[in-house]
Amino acid sequence: MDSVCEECTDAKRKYDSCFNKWFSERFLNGHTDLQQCDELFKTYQECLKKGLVDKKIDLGDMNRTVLGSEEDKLGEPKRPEKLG
Amino acid sequence: MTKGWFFGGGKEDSSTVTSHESHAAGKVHSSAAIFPYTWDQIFVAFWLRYPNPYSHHVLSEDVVERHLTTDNKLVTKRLLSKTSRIPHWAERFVQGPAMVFVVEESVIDLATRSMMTYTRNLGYKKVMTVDEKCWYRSRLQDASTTELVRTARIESHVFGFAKPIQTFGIERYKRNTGRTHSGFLHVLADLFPSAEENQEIAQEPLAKRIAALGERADAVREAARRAREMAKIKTSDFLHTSRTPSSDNSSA
Repeated sequence: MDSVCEECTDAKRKYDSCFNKWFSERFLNGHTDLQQCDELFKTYQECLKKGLVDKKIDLGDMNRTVLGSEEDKLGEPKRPEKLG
Repeated sequence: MTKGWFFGGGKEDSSTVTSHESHAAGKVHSSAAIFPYTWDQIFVAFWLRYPNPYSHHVLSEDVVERHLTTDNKLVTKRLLSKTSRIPHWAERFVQGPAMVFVVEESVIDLATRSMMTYTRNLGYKKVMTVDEKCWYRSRLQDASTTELVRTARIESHVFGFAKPIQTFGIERYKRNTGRTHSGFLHVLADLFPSAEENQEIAQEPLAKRIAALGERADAVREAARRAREMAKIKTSDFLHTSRTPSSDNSSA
């Protein structure tokens, strides 16, 4: 999938393929060495941060973390009884 | 075999479990589904969901944060951009953007074989906010399947029009949920075909299947890009009838 900043799509895809490989082959087998994709992530993030500033994209409160915080409006999703 | 289904008694789809609540602060919609795939297959495919034939409204996808917690949960924040349409009647009151940004937070916990996601829109918030939580879990009764329970809250604070906007928002949300589900199932079927469906692919290593999925996605994207360019040429032909692409080489 493309990056919102066209010029970063290449860096993003390199990082994505590193991550997907790590996720399926390492993480799911109990390894926690996420750092093996760090360099590709850094290159991608540098491009993205610059691109978002250059494009003057207003990201509002993107950096806020909602999941697991008090701002979570939804609580625990209710399981329908029919699901068994 | 049916790949994935909803439960319950909706009219359009006889197997949908949905529930509806209206509150002073917006509308809440809940639904559930069971995937005939294991939890680890669901998590692998989650990162590879876009593009798919049902995701033409998703324009871009970026990872903006990712880390492991001290207890080894994988935390990710993604930024998505999607096309956004509002109904004609609403255009008279609010100016809708052509595109809306969405933030998706997710936490994957291998210890409980579960994933929780929280999605919310950025900007455009005075008109409508859509908050959605999805909870994917391996099923105790049958570990070869994974259940998904979703809850969404839609709110609007446009004076005098909050109600119709919320109703529109809920209907659109339900349509989009259907498309998202179909798209996810499409990617899952591509990545994890059953042995009888495609013996050759089912025996390939997963990494190879992931790469092949990426290549097919590239082909789809390339076709879409070419179609957009053709559309541009046609539009410019129409606007400048005296110029054709062949007589326009000098300025290219």
